[in-house]
Parts: sequence; C-alpha cells; structure tokens
Amino acid sequence: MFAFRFLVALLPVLVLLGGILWLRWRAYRAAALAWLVAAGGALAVYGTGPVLLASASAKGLSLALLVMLIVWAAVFLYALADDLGAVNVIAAKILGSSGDPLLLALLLAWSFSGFLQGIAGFGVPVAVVAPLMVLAGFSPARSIAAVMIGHSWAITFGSMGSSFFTIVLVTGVNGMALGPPLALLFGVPILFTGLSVAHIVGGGPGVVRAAPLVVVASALMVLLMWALNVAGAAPVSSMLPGLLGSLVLWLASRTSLYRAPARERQDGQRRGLTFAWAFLPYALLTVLSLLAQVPLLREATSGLRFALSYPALATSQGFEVAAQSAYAPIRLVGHPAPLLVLSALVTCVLYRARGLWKEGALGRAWRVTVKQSTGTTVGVSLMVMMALVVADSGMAAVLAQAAEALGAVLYLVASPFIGLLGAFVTGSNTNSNVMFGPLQLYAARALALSTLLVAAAQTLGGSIGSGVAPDKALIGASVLGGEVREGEVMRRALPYGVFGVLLVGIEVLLASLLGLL
Amino acid sequence: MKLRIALLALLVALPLLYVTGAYLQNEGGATVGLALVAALCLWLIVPEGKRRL
Repeated sequence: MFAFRFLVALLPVLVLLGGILWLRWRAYRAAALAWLVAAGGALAVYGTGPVLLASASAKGLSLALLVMLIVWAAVFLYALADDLGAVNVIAAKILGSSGDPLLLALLLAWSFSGFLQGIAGFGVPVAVVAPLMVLAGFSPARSIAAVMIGHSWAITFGSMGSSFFTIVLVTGVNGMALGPPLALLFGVPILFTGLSVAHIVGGGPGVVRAAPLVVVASALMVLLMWALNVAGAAPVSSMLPGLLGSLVLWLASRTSLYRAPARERQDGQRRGLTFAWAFLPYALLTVLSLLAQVPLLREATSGLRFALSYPALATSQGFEVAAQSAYAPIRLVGHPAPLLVLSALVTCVLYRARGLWKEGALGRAWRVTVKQSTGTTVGVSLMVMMALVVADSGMAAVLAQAAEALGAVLYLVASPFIGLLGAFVTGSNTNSNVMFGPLQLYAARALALSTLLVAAAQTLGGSIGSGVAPDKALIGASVLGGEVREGEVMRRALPYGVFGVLLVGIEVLLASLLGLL
Repeated sequence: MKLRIALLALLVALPLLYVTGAYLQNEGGATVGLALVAALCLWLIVPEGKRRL
C-alpha cells in the first residue's frame, strides 16, 4: 500500500520531468498535465476533498503572484535600460577595460553576468554576455559554457531575489535567519564558478594564474552578500556582489600582473550617455532597496500590503494542513516590484530632464516584458499550484518518509542534487524550489536535520542547476545565430555543474557535522 | 495569444478558488472552480494544430 501511495505522490513530478525532458514540451504544457495528475491523485488516493484542493491551488496562485510580480518588474526595468542604450554602454565599458583574455573572461562571464542575473535573470546574462565573449575572441561554445557556469552563483539572489523568496515561502523558514548563512555557503559556488570560467578559457594554467585574483574577489563578494543579507537586502544580494567583483577585476587590470592593452571600445553607443547615466536605473534600485529596509519605514508601512489568509483544513485520511494568516504577503514597501517600477519611473523623469529619453521607450519595454514573461508566468503558476497540491494533500509527506531510507548523511550530500535536478529540468531555480522545497522540508524534519541547512542546500543546488540547464544553452546558441549546437555547449558546461553541486553537498555535510547550522 | 488567455484565466482562477475553497469552503463552488482549471489545463496540453481536428 505504501509503495502505491509513494508512486502516486511521485507521479506529478515524474510527469513534469518526463514532459520537459522526453516529450520536449514547453514547461507550461508539462506543468498543466502535472497539476491534473496531482489533483487526480489527491482526490482519488489521498482523500483530498474539492475544498482542500481548491484552497491548495489558490495558495499556489498566491505564491506565484508574489514571485511573478518580481519577474515582470525586473524584466521591465531591464528592457527599458536596454531600449535606452544603457546595457550597451555598461557592457562596452567592461569590454574596453582590459586586453588580457583571462581577465576579460572573468569580468564578463563571472562578475558582470552575475550582476545581470541580479537585475534580470531568465537567460539574460547568457543572451547579453555570450556575444560579448565572442567579440573578445573566445569560441562560441566556450563563450556560452563560461557564461552558463559563470553566472550560476548569482541565481538564488538574482532576479531581485525571486528564488530566495520562493524557498523561504515554500519551506516556511525565516528569511532573515536563512539569508546570512546561505550567503556564507555561497562562498564555495562563487569561488568554484570563478575558477571554472578560468578553466574553460585557459585550462590548468588559466586556473593557476587566475586563482589569487578569484580568491580575493570571491572573499569580498561573499562578505558583501552576507552583509546585505544581515541588513535584509536579499533582492540586491547578487547584483551588488557582481558589481563589486567587476570593480575588483577592473582594479586588477590596472596592476602589472594582468595589465594588457585594451581593445577599442565598441561603436553604436548613444551620444551623451555616460557610464554613470547608464547605471542610473540600477543605482536608484539599490538605494531604494536599502531605504525599504529602514525599520521605521517598514513599521510605518507594514499595513500597506496585499495578502490572503487560508484556514486549517484536513483530508479524509486525517492529514492536517495548518492555517496560514497573511500568506505570501505583497508589501508596498519591501516587495521588490514596486521598487523596480519606481526606479523605472524616476529614470524616465531624469532621462527626460537630461535629454536622453527615447520616445515610446516605456511602451516598447512593456511589449518586450509581456512577450518574455507570459509563458514563464503560466508555467510557474501551474507548477506552484501542482507543488502546493502535492504538499497539502499529504503526498510530500509520503515522499519524505521514503527519503528517510537514505539516512541523514547521504541525504545531506544528495539534497543539493535534488535542487539541481529540478532546476536542470525546468530551467529555473525558482521552479526547482517550488517543486522540491516542501519535499526537502519534510525530509529534513523526518531525518531530524536543520531545516535551514536543507533549504539552503536545495537552493544552492538549484542555483547551479539553473545555470547549466539546457534552456540556457539554447538561448546562447540561438543568440549566436546557430554558430554552435546546444549539445556541444551542454557537454562543456554540465560536468562543471555536477562537480560544483558535489562540492556544495560536501560543504553542506561539513556544515552539519560542525553544527554550523 | 493562447498564453495570454491562459494568464488571464489564472488571474480569474485565484479569486474563484480562494472564495469557494478557502473562504466559503463550499464544495459545489470549489468543484466548479477546479473543473474550470482542469479545462484550462487540458486546453494548454492539446497542441495548437490538433485543436482544429
């Protein structure tokens, strides 16, 4: 009987994976089928009534609304900055900073792509940086693989922290308690991805030459990531470390170790648009994000929020779902979306005053946002609905019971691989956290492990897995106009991803053995 | 266009499922809401070309 219940619980996840991997369906189609399978299993096998099923699905939509608002606003701000020529100026500044190929590769594929992930995500780093890498003289396959692995450290806190907020919501852990130790655990992925980029473009000698610089830059980036999380500024915890890494590498290009004549800066930039003006939208966003953390302001505006409350319900088999008051709250001051929109509006006003504004930019940015975000939103919404049905019907509890068989030590090493699997299949750290976050939580409780540590392991694995997912290779290959096959890119990038997640598994195990979390 | 319609349908589904399931806890209403979501899912699963047959 347990085996049958286990199979029914596993089926929605298998359908999702199978739909995307074997049938090569778009994520929204596989997610739609997975919700149907989950709902059918919950009704037929788990004794879930229509009221609980509707409540769980509505909960999923509440969660999706919170996360997808961040996605829409982040894509809109990026599309606006791109339309105004700001992204081009920032990229050209980096391309013109050094003639040393190793340093340029680190700057572009590791720190700048991390910064881009911080502000946009969803394949934007690969789409923007891979062509720049080719311009800098690297082969298409190396360029895409380097960016894929290079930006993967920035995914959990990227897209204004959408994956981080998701793991916090689906596991119910305290975000302020998870953020700082998670940032410290990101030390290994940050260092590893930097050295991986050096290995992809320069082999063993490249790693040896880059190591001192990567170690110093990584240490500073981790410290900043940690400090931002202590300050409660998770939404900018990839963006600012990415920027700091770029600054450290730029300063290194001025030293005798890495100095080399720079290439000429690229043409096609708008007149009058300096680096400072190009960076303005993101400088505004940083200032507003930090302002939003001021306790006085947070308290004064705590009532300005949208949230639904969910009652306690139970299945006919006695599985109880606790009541949730103000589930997935969207705060006017504190949620990244209003801050992103405000940054866009202030940019609009200041660019107009400076004469840098392009007529129709807001409309074009909106159209790009709708085109880019609609499919993702439908897919993520259905996936989150499926995940909440799996959690609230008691299926996740059955899966977790089965995971107990692995034992605590093996489970800790395996837990980031579960995150990697979800992200690899769905192409998203957020989706992976939604799919497997509740399962990891149940398993952690069953094995008496730290829920904070297992939540961290899930999203650490998801971060690297999302970076090396096939959709990123596809984006890179399509942006470079078919100069390379995505299979060749995957063969280069995937071993780094798997090895990186193994290191994370060992790191998580050590953190647990030493009682750090 | 299909995805935009699906997005609008999901925006309608949130209040519908919430009111019938979590707020009123009305079995009949919740069943209707779930049936509509199931229909949306089936429509999304069927590929564009096949729907004309």
